[in-house]
Parts: sequence; C-alpha cells; structure tokens
Amino acid sequence: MYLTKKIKFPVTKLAGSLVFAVSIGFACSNALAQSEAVHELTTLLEENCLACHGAATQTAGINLSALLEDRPLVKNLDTWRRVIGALEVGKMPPPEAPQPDPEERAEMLFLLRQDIDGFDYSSIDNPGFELMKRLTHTEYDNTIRDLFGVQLNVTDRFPTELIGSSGFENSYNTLFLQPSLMERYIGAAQSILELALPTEPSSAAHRRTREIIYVETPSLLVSEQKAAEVVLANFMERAYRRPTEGIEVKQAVTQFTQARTEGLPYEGAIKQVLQTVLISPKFLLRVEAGQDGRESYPVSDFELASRLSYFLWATMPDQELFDLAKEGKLSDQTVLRNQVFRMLDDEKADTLGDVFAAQWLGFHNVGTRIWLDPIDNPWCTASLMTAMRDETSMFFMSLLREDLPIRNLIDADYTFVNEELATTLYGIEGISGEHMRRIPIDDPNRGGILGHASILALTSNYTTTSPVKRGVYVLDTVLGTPPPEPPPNVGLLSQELQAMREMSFREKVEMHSSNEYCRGCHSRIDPIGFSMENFSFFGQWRETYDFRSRVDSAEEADESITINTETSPEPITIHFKNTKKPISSKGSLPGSEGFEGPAGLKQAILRDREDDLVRQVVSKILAYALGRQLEYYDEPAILNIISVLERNDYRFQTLLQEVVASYPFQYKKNPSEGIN
Amino acid sequence: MKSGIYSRRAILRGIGASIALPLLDVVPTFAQAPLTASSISTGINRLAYLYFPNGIPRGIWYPEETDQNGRLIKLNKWMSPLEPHKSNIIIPSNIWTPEGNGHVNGTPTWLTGYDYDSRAVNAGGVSADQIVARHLREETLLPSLELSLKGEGYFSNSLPRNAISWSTPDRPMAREIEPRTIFDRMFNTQTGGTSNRSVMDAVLADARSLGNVVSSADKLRLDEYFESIRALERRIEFAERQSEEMREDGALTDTLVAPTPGIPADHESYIRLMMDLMIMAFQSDATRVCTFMLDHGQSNRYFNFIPEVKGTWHALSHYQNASGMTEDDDGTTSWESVEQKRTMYAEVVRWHHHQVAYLLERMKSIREPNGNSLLDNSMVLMGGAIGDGNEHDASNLPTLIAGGGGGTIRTGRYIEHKEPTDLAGIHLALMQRMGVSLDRLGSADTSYQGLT
Repeated sequence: MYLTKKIKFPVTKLAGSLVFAVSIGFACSNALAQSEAVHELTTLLEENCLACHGAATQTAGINLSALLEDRPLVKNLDTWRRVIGALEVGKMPPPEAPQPDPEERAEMLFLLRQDIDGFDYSSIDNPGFELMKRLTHTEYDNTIRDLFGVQLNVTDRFPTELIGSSGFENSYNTLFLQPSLMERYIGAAQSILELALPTEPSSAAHRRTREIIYVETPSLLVSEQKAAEVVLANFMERAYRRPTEGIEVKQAVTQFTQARTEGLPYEGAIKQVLQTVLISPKFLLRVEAGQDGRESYPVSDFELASRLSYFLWATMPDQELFDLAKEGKLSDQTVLRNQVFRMLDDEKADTLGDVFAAQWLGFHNVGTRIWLDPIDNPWCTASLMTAMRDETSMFFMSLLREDLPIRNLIDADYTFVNEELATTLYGIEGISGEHMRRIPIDDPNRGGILGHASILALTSNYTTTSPVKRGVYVLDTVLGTPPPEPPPNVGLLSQELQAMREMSFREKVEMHSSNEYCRGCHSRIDPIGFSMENFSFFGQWRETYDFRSRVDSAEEADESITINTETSPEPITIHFKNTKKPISSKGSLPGSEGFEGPAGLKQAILRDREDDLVRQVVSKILAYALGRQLEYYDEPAILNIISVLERNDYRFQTLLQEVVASYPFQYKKNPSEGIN
Repeated sequence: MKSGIYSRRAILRGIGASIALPLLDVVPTFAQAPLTASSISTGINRLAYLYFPNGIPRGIWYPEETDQNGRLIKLNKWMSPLEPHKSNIIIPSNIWTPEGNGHVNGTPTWLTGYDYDSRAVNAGGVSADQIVARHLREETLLPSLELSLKGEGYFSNSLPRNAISWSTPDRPMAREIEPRTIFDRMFNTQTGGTSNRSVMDAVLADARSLGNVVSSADKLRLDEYFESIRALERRIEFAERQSEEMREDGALTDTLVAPTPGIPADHESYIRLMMDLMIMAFQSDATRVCTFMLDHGQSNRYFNFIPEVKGTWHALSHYQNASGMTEDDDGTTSWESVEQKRTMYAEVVRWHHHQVAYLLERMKSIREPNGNSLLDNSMVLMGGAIGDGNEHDASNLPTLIAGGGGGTIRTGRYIEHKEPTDLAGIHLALMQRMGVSLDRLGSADTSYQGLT
C-alpha cells in the first residue's frame, strides 16, 4: 500500500517545456525519463540549495552534492526525508535567502518523492547485520534471574544505559563494553554467586537455586570431578545459550581441579568457574557464529532461539526453546509460529510492554523524569506514577495477547486502573484497591493511548500542558512523520513579550502561526495539541482553564488561605481570585479537515493516517526485534509485513508473527565495509 | 581469595598533615611528614577537563581590568569567585569550534574537534583526553577517570548529551556519577571489581577461542572485550605492585574513609565531593587524566537553591524570552524581564565559578614532592560548546585554563584574539604538555601557541 499510493501531483515539467503526466510506476520503468529526472533534480538543487548545502559549506552538516551522488537516494533516506520536509513547509530555503518560485519548489518535491517514495525495493536483497552486542542491563538481570532462579537486579549501580537514535536501549551501536563496565561485570559475578549460592544456604530461595545449579553431587558412585563436569557443563550450556564444546568443558574442569588443588572446597571451586563463565564474552555478548562470503545466510537454530527470547522476553531462551533448537526444529516455520504464541502467553512477555512499548512511547520516563510535586500537587505520588506506567504497559500487552487490531492502540473501549489512578486522574468512582484491573470505558475521549495519563503527562510541561509537545508527539512518536527540527535561534518573540502577557494561552501558542518563519511547521503541530487541551498536564478532564491570581483583599477574593511562614511571626492570609476561561478544542491534522476534541483527533488519525500508524508500529517493533535502527534495505521487509497485516485486519499477533518470520530476523549478511 | 588493596601509601604520599580532605573527612593522623616519593617523579603533569554546558550570557567572560600585556588585574563580577586565583588562570577570548555545535552535536565533539553523526553514533575521532589516557595507560592505575553528575530532567539518558570522552570515534566512555563507586574503583579492589588471577586467565583463554567462530565484523566487538580485560589486567598488576609496597609499610592501613553510597542531596556538596575525588586521583597518581561534566549537555537542572534564581538552567539560557511560555520553560516559572532572567542565568555561571574556585584552592594547597603545588603540576581546561546560550552559537566559547602545567604555562593572563581561534588547537597544546605530540585534532592542524 505504501508503494502503490499515488502521489497527488499529476503535472510536472520534464526536459524543458514539454509537459508530461507522470505516474510513479511509469517514471521508474522509463530509464530515459529517469536520467532526465536526475539531471533536472540536480540542476534545481544546485540553483536553490547548494550555495549553503554544497560540498564547500555543508551548513548543518548537509552536503547535497555528495548525497546526490550516493545512489539510490534511499540510501540516505532520513536526510532526504528531512530535505523533503523542509521544502514542503517552506523552512528551506530560509526566508532571507532567494526563494524558488512555487512551480520550482513543487518540481523539486515531485522529483525527490519519485526517487524516495517511488523507489523499487524489489532489487534489494540484504537482511542486514547486527554487530555482536552485549546484553542490556535489563536483559542481564533477567538472564541472571533465569540462570539462578532468583531475582537479584545487580545492575542497579551500573552506568546508565544511554539511548541513541534507534530509540531503544537494545541497539548494537550504543551497547558498549567499556573497561569500567567490565569491572562492574566482574564485581557483579562475584556478588551474584555470594548472594545466590551462599556457603551456608539459609532460605527456600537458596535451596531452590542449589537445585538448579548442583544438578549432580559427588558421592560414592560419582567422583568429584565427574560431578563437577556435569554441573559445569549444564551451567555453561544455559549461560552460553548453546551446546558446549568438549574443549570448553575440559578447560572448565581443569580450572576446577586447579582450584581444588589450591585448597578451595568443592563448592568454592565450582563457584570460581561459574564466576569465570559469568564474565566470559560468550555469556555477556549475544554471540552469533559468522560465515564467510557475500551471500546472506540464516542464523542457526540456537541463535534463532536467542533472537526470539531476547525479543519477546528480554531474557535467555527457556528449556523448551533449547530442546527444539537441539532437535533442529525451531527453524520450522510452523513450530516457530507456535512458539511465538506460547511465549506471548508467558508472563515474561510483559517486557514487550515494560521495555518495548515503554521505550517507544516514552512512558518509562514517567516517575523518573516526570516529577513528584508534593507542594502544589500532593496527589502526585510514586504509586500513582507506577499505576500510570502500568496502565499503558498492560493496555499494550492486552492488544498483543488478545490479538486486537493496531487501530485499537488509538481507540479502545477499555483500560486498566486501580483506585488511585481512577479517582485521582480519571474521575471514575467505584474502584477500590491497589491492584490494576481492566475496566470498560464509554467516554469516547479517554480510550486508547492518547487518553492515558502517562502519555498526557510526559507530553506536558511540569505543571502545564504543551500543545506543541503533544502535537509533535502525535506526528513523530505515534505516526512516524516528525516535523522538521526547529531552526536554531528560536526565541524570536521577545519584542512581543508585553503583548503576550495579555493573551490567553492559546493565543500565545498561536503566535507561532502568525510568525512567518514558524508557521510552516507549527500550523501542522499546534492544532493537534489544541484538540487535546481538555486533558490537563496529568490527563485529568477539564472544561475550562482555571487561573488563580493573587488579590489584595478578602472582598475581591474567591478563596483565602492562611499559612505560617518562617519570615513572619504571625500567620499570613493570602487571597486568590479564580477565573475560568472556556477551552476550545478545535484541531486538525496536516492536510485534512478539522475536528473537535480528543475523540475527533482519534477518528481523524484512524480515518486519514492509519497507514502511517501501521507503518510506525511495524518499524518500531522491527527495530526493537533486530536491536538496531532500520536501514533503507529493510524496506522490503516492512512492506511485506504491512501487506500481510492488510489481509489480517492489522492484528497485533500477525505483526509479531511476521516480524519473527521476516528476512532480517532470520538471516544476516556480512557488511560490505566495516560497520561504522 | 586474595584481593589486592591499593596502596594507602600512594594516596597519602605528599599529603601534608595540615591538609584534610574536607568532604571526605580523611585525616591522615600518622602522616606527619610528607612521605618519601618513589614513583612520583618531579615534572608529572595532570590534565583535567571541566565540561560546562548551556553557554553563558554574552559578555560575562571578560576581565574587568588588565594591564597592557594582558595581565589580569581584576576579574568582572560574574567571575569574581576566581579573583583569588587570577594569577593561576588564563582567559582566552574568541574561542570557537568550526564543527560540531550546540547541545547535541557540540557536547560529544567538545574534545574531538569534529562534527557528530548521531545516526552512526560517531564523534569523528578519539577525544583528546582518551588520546592522552592511551599514551599514559602503563603509568597509572586507571588510564583516565570520567565523572559526571546525575542528570535531572529531560535528556538525562540521551547519549550525545552525556558523552564527551571517546575511546574510539564510535565508542564513548562510560561515566561515573556515584562518589562511592569512584572511590572504590581507585582504592578498593574488592567492590571495585578486579578479581583473582585464575579467573581472569581462564576467561581470556576461553574468550580467545571465540575469535575463530564469529565473523570478521564481530571481531571488532571482541577486540573491545579484550581491550577492557587488558585494561583490568593492567590494574591488577598495578595493584599487586602496590600491595607489595604496602606490606612493607604496615602502618598505612584503613585511614581512608570512603564516601557513603548514593548521591548527595545537596548539589554543592555533590559537585565538591566529585572534585575531591578528582584531586585524590591526581594526588595518589591513580590517574593523570580526568574529565568531569559539570552537567549533561542540555542540563535542565533547577538552580533555585541559589538565592534569587528560579527556573531550569537550560530555560534560563534562552533568556531573551522571559514569558515562561516557550517550550524550553517549565510552564510555571516566568520572569519579570529579559534583564532579570539574564541575571539569573549569569548567577548560575557565577555559582559554577565558586565551585571551580574551590577546586583550584584545594589543588593549590596540596604540596607535591617537588615542592610545587598540585595546581602547578596540573592543567585544568574549563569550557563548553555553546557561546551565548540564547544565540546557541559556537563563537566566543566560554573557555578558561588553570594551572601551571609543570611550569609550561604562563598564567595570570587575558589573551585577546582578533581572529576566531579553534578550541582544538588548545587541546593540541595541552596534549603536547602531557607528552603527546600530534599534528592535528579534528578541525585544527596547528597547536595553539599562546600558553607560554
């Protein structure tokens, strides 16, 4: 559907004054027209853009002449999309520079779109390559949990995971193995063994762990060395997530024997070897065997088991996956499908909500970067923020587990709340208790993530809403069509400062649209945010803006409070006057008709932008599954997944199945040059 | 299992009895006389970088008065905390970075001199501190120390805003934010993480076999692993040597008091504690290269604890709009005028100068075996990648150099440049003084000559 979408731009001029009606398919199949188009595009960009964005100056790091040489243009998809965006909204060329006439601008856009959106991806065969990467802190903690049967969370004091442009912590190009982290791994290995396998076991958990680890015990019939061999081989196989090789076990037993000779007790010597295993790159890194050559090749069954479990569970494979891999059955596509269903049912799959959805939608920031505000908003507690995160995470998981269509992400007739969330933010009565439970929702404004307190809070300022942030969030995070970056030097409104004092909030933000330079983008961004203004900065429903201002006397006041201060011996009374202004929640999406309020926004998204929504969900989950940012050569996989979704009512389980079945998930191809 | 304990002797070496470490509360009561120097020879130089984000209001980084040779006579009121140290500093004017500007691209490239590619996570080159660290890595316990403060508000885990040190162009160094962890990495092998020899040997033997299995691209990642292990091995060897020394010197035990785990709630105590640790690292020769990010590259920290200041740092930096209604603002704080907001912004800068003054004061008060102060034997470069915070430009970057560089820097001066002067040239000049001779770094192909 993405490819077949006709670009609404029927007439253009090619080769001087001749006018053709061109469809994308025609242009692509016609080599002559294409080379003419390349020439035309080069000429137009040279005239209008290269003075600043050529080889000599490269303003903002953009060198269009180099980019034009790098064919096909889709190789630099992101940059060209930025170029298209900037041309489209009139951000470029900047107002002070000579402007192309409207036909020229339209022509550039047409030619670029033809090369970018109209590119024929069927010629590309590249599943990509993910450089071997370490476990994320979350994956490390979960893997340790599964190895020892006890949750230890030793990564709490590790250096923070930083997020780059993939948007997810699990991207190979941000998972570094610095010496200081290596020190943490070594220290952690020691702590884990001390905590999980203490010399004197004292709890049920300790005894359980011993059962998992000490699968054999020395006895009259079993020599110490034999027992150690069984214990170590079993542990190594699980820790390395593949069968061990004879030499590995032999080395481990040698280390064990050496430690015994040096006087360590039996268990102490075992633990020394386990410690070694826990800092081995075979454990810390997601190792995949390589193959030589230029052809793509499938990953092995064991590697597939790990790809699957770290994608769906953020942890190591379980016994069933190991067994299937051992029997060589996992790469059977039917077996694989059934495993995806099974794994989704397991509670370990909750990481798709807690990690994937949280990092994509950003709600992992609620609680760490949306702050407690004990003075002005004492209701804003840590437990409330936990409930806010859980709501969205559980909602996302319900979409997956109940195999609902992608559109339900935006519009749904249910959600998850506990008493605190329901009463504090949603004004819903009759819910009691701390546990989160599913409730039906009949309010057309509330259902779906855009009515979730988590999303509404993280797209707000600390104590006020931000229509701009919300607008950008919908365009960028939800629909995958980010507006161009704001230009540097954005504070241009200072001279209007005094006038702004008198304005309503909406009028102030609307100033964006009255300023020529800002209008291009903000006329697209702001109206989306305005339509959500009935949701306060924490997602409570409101009909009016309530202003509270200080007044001098009790006569003028609507409200007076008396407080004790440190500076005055006597209590002080402060008077407030409350005023209300009605909220106008008219909004619009770029290029489509207007609507009213959050319910209208949701309908508009599903009516006009469902394609973008689907594409965004597919891209995000594929990037997370692969552990890398997507590249232009992933486009065939995306298009393929979308076309299968089209036939299955865009259901979430089809999405998961198709991601797992996709070419880049099951194959890899050595990079032609070094990675980065 | 035996674990080496780093020599308390090293840390105490050269600390006179009269000097206590104020926030760490270390009172070396028995070290009445400076201990005899062994490995610390005279002429050792240290290099510290203090990254200062969010720029300054234009025009507060000049001295009020100089003589005709540029000698500093009186600093302006915003730099006044440094007045007692004016003979130990250089203020160069008109510094810029031709490439890599702003919060996102300027922060990761402050020490590389290139531009930043966020998609590829690539800062163009190895950063100056890491080039020096690599050069010196056989000499000290830790090749370098990377410190930051725990972020507040948005962008706290944004990679480019939190990375200034790059061991390769696409690999940033992890940064430490917890005082106790830093202390442990220097002085306590047990929680610091080095382990006994047999474990390390076994790991290495095992890891090497992996090289036969993985593809050639993946070998890069494996190299990264080996490099990390080698760095640790060097640490262990170093520790073993030092514990030998220690055994001969039984008196020196358990005099160091480790900071309590966690992050101090008071920002000033936090920043000073980190500075103490940096000083301790230099003093004990645990490392000679240290970077300290005084905040991440787009800090949204509230400085409301400074009297008369309100709003987040980054919001204040966009001082031209005082409405409190831009997207940089928190939505509650607003200001009466541009002037008021700009003043608050300048107060935040001044507050940081107070902290730097603390650092310099402490470094001055520490006598080294060659009779000079630690500050004389060090070079501190403080600065950032944004000039005027409101303009978001990369010209007139706030830059300050302190310390004598082992007698290689003539301090006490304001150096006026008619032409924009590339910061990377200053990096080259400082690196030279650490024994690294390079012809170019990023955009600069000549070393800055103005320091002597």
